Amino acid sequence: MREISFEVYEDQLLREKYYKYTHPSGLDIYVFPKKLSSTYAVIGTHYGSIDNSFRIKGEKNITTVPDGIAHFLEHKLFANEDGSDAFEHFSAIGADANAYTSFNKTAYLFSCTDNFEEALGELIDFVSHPYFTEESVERERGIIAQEIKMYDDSPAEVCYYGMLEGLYKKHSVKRNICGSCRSISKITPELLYECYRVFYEPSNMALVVCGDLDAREVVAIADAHLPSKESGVEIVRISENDLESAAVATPRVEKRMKVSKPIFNIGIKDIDIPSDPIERLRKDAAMSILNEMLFARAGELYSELFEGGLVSPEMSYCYTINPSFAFNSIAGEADDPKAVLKRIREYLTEKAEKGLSHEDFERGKRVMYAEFVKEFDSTEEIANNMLSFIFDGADIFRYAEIISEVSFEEVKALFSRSFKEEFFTMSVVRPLDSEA
Amino acid sequence: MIPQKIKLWESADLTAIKTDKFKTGMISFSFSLPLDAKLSAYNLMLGGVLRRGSVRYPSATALNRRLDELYASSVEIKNLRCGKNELLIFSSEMLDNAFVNDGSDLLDGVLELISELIMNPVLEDNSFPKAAVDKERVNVSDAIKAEINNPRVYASRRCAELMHSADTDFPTVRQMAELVDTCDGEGLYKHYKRVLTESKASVFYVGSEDIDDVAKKIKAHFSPFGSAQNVVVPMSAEGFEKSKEVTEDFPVSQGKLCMGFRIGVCADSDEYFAAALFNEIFGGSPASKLFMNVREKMGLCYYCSSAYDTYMGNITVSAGIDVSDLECAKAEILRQLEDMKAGRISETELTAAKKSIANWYRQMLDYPFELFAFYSTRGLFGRKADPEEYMRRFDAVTPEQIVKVAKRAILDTVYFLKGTIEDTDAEEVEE
Repeated sequence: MREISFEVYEDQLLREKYYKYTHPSGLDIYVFPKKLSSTYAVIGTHYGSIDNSFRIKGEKNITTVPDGIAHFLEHKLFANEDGSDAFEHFSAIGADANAYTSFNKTAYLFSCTDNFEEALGELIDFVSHPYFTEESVERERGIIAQEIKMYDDSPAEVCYYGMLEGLYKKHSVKRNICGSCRSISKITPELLYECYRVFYEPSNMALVVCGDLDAREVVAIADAHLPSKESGVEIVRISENDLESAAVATPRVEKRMKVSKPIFNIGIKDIDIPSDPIERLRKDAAMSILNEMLFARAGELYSELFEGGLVSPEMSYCYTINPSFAFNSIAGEADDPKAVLKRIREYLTEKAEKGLSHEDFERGKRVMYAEFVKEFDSTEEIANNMLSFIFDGADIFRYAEIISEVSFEEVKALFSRSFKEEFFTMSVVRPLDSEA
Repeated sequence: MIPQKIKLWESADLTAIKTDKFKTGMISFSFSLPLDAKLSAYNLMLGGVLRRGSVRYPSATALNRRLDELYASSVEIKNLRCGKNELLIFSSEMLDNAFVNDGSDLLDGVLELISELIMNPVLEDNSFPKAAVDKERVNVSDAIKAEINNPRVYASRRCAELMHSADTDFPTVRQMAELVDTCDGEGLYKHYKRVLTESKASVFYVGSEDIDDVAKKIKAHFSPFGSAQNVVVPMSAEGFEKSKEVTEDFPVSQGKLCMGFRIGVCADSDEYFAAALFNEIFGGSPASKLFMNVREKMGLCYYCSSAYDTYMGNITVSAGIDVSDLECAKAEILRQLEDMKAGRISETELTAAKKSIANWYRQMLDYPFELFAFYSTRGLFGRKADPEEYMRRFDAVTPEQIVKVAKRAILDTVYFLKGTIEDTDAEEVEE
């Protein structure tokens, strides 16, 4: 095998390091050595449910494909040409395999404590050999239809997608990752092959391995299963964020389902997405600290809502940002979601008048730091987090530095522009028999 | 990774696994008592009320602030059922001191906080304060009712209730809701005293500190708790009485099928290893007979799997299907079981199942809470818990032993949650 040289990334504080190698096929391979019992490998493509309109570099036409096709592909890749199923192969060597599709990526993974070499070979092989027939696509349609129905019956899912519907006028993030029974009825083997050709190009993918391993050995195993050169397909991504206005599509989305009491998802839209990955990471860190200051269980707002019995104890919050979309969300269960929203808005106005507390800022930073360190205790968590950072164009170790660099002034400035009334939407799922 | 065990005092043990492979430590306090509806309902109430504050940290917010100061340490209060016992668990995770640079001792800080929760609650004349109990009653009652928000969970629980209908100690959701409604401060205080003095108590630690140092820190914050008497109800398989088939309408689009089988083998039996392998091959993994046939070959569902209750000796199959496919799915699940009874277990299936279980035992070493669950639940019944020994026993199981277990399987309960919402998607207007 040829000489290989790695880029090495190291973090003194975490006492961790990882290695990066770009394979001649265009695939970036990351190895994160970790002395734990289980080894975890994930190969992902930067291709998710939102990528249903695309253009190939050098071609004029924009191709639009049915919703849910990335997820359909994820299901179908497990089938091999010889009629076997990749799950059986992993199972025969004691490895535990799975896959997932999100808005912006598709990932195939396994964890094992033995037979790593065979398992990694199998992972790369089945992901690089698509095989679809009319008959197998038809059978998969039935399975995915049941998956769609399962999610359609889940009030939490329905409420979450209701929020996305409220936030976005056009962005495809508001459409279900699995698509609908109707959209998947239009999926054919030809369309699957086309999406595969465009998005499963090694240069659009990454392999991350975390475990008690040597980086050179991992690369040698992968090399035996990868093509030796790039094919040259390059995707031009269409930025859907540019099509969105700052204001939400609609401030209120309501549905009725079998729930014991109303559940809600408040969405706060954010179209101010920095194009530079480090700037984006910095915004993510600053907003996450701000969320800790405003919405945490140790904070005054949650305290008031909880002690006053306005919300159930499990109220949660989360900021999401990637190159294509960004929003803040607060989810929970309440007899009167409108009153909760009203109180949250009033609280934010009071804070804007009185100013944020420096003590809360310090607390927020401390929490963010601790939560970040805790993510380095499982090979599964490390590998999946690495994959997200890679597709966002950033180095995971930079995040800890950025958390410590973020200033109080920066958080105050962010606060002053992030919670305008027109950015808010609320999705509510009410019990079937309740009044409006 | 070999656990050490010492007595903290006559009525409670400390088990510790010393390791420097994690950046976080874990400690948990467990209190086990024989299960009945009242215990289960009152444990929920007690956990909620204690989490609302102590003498030193007089509100949930004060507790949460202290946890944030301790670098986002967590304290979770959970109930874990082990057959006819229920454990009330106070479990905490904290960063290892090596990752904080201000000289904090986070384990000590967390122990102080848990001791406040457990030993020093806010009380008024041998009663918990009415206001706290009233508020928590609403939360617990809401949490119990919120089960219907998840049709799959609701269906599994209904199937379990039907399977245990002859068992007067098995808590039903209705009983629990009623008990919560009538729970008051005095009654809850009596329950609290009972938990502290009558339960089998134990502490479990995973982290970088020596067992003696951990014990010293615990003793500095806690006065003795637990009972020296053995109060654990041994596991015992339930017998088959009569088969039940129940269908309930529910306003969802997908039907949820649950089929409960009695196999009569619990974790304390020599046949346990064969039973766990039977479950693995039948429906325990994506390479199992149920997944490969009901899902992959027939395309009837997205999920179809089986779960083994090792304390009651039951196996429950669950699947999400179209209402019109009920008979077809049921027949196929039973056909797969018949196949196993007839000895149709391939060498590949057996090897894969053994490897999968061995893989699980080795992966467990990476997850402190799983280690706790394994050692504590096995330890509860006095069985020697040793992952290596378990793996050896699994490896020695023969196909004949699995077939013998398969032959014991009797279908006890079929529960079908029948979705009543028609497929609306098909009528969607073309965009």
